[in-house]
Amino acid sequence: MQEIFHALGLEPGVLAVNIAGFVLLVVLLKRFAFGPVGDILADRAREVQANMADAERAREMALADKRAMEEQLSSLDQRADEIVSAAERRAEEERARILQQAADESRRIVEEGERRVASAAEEARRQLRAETASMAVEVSARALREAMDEERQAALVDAFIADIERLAGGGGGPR
Amino acid sequence: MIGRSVVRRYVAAALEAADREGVRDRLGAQLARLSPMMMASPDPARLLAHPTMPVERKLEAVAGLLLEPPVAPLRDLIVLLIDNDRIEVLCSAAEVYQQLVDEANGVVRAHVTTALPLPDDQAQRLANALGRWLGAPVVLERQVDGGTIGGIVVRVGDRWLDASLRGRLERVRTQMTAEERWGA
Repeated sequence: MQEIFHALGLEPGVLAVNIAGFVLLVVLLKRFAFGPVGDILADRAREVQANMADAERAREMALADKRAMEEQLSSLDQRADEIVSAAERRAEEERARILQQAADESRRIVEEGERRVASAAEEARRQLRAETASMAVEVSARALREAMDEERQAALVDAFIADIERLAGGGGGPR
Repeated sequence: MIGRSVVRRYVAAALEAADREGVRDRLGAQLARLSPMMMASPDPARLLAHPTMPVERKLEAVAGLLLEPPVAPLRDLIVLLIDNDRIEVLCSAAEVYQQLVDEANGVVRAHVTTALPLPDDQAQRLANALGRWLGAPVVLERQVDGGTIGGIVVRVGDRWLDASLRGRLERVRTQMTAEERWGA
């Protein structure tokens, strides 16, 4: 053994001191370093596990939210379909109403136009009658004025007097 | 517009006063001159209704229009009409006065319009015929208007007898203008 230590260049005393120092170092490390580090690592492991659990819960909540959102989206789609359908129905009704209104207005305008044309035609006929009558009367008046003389005038007055005398003879006074 | 009954009331009072004073004809003549002037222009009525002009000045203005002083009944009538704010009565006073005089005399006045002058003999026969019909003596007021063309128009009060050729033609015109004559 001595020879081996000698061949290896080791001194047994030094080696013993080194071993003792090493053991002491291990004891010290275990006592003052490995304990707190282990605690730290254990705390860290617990924290990581808690975080993982939180993450799992968050993932589940997110999934639940996603499902709820998808259900809501589905509901919204249905509602949107209903709204679109109602809007289309109203648009169709409005279109029909506008078309009916336009047709009514068109008919009213045509009828009003026909009434105006008829009225204008009637007014034209009335004016024509009036003018024709006036012309006939004025032509007759001119002819009568030219033909009038004392003899004819006297005859007209005599006829009037005869009418009055007939009235007086009939016993009926003026009313 | 003043009603005829109001005019009649004022004029009747003037006629009574004129009869009392024996100036019936003169009052009639002055009214016959004044009324047409009052109707022709609003100026005389405005002057007589003037709020500040003295009555004597107004009567002088009337005398200027009549070319002689108004008889007392007319003067009193004008003063009364000014006091009562009824000066427009003068516009139709002459006609109403003549009507009252005719009624007092028991005669009816007929206004006759012809295109040519009505000869006296025919006028007499017409007056007689109208008198028999109306049951009272008729006095004719003759007027010539070529617009009648021929025939005769007689007005007694507010009653019209139109036997003129113009009247007949107007009736023909009315018939021709009526729609049913044209099959409309």
